[in-house]
Amino acid sequence: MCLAIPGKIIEIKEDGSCIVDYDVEKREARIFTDDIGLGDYVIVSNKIVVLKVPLNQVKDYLNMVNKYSNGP
Amino acid sequence: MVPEEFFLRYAFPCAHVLLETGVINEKRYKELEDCAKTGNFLSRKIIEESFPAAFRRIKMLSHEIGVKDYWDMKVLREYWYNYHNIIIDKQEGNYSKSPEFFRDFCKVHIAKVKEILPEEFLLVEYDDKKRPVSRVYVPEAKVGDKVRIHHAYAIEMVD
Repeated sequence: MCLAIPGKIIEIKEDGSCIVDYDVEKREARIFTDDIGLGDYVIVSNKIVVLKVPLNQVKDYLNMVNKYSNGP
Repeated sequence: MVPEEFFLRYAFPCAHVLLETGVINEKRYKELEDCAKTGNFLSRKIIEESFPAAFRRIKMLSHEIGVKDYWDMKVLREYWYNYHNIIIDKQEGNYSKSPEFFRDFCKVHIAKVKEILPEEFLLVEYDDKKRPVSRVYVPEAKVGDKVRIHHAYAIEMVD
């Protein structure tokens, strides 16, 4: 199985780009869908926000990612 | 398209985690990416070593459907079009720890192109969900076309 590291949106700019916080670093990405808002956890690919982590699954997902990154 | 390229188009979106967890190094990651994107030659041995879980299942599948050569396109298509989704739905292995939204992201879906986006992306729709996916593998896709998607990529056109 594979997983993608989620980041939290800490800023949305007027031009449709946003700043995604990954704890260790911050990266810029573009938003194309209208379901994404400030504070959402998202998955980014090629500098595009491609998926929002639903609020009720954030905890489970972060747990899974943390467990995985500490060794499968 | 040769079987190596076909397999890697679907599998490559998962390769970054192999890199992040140290299963493969930077050089191998680039080789896998080149093979997925340009069809550059990469040996089957290297591909199988990089995706051991997938090939364990592909070998089981080829046995089940009675095709001896597990690199046969018939086996690989059946794997990515059906078998892989069934494994995820059954929540086998690590999929048992994965929340529902992410299992859906890992599955292969047939989606309809709704919009051509900037940055070589498409907005596609399936099951009333809209997602942006990269169009690098399907530059010919137009609004209304159907494509198979996996993670953040449109992988191939659907006839």
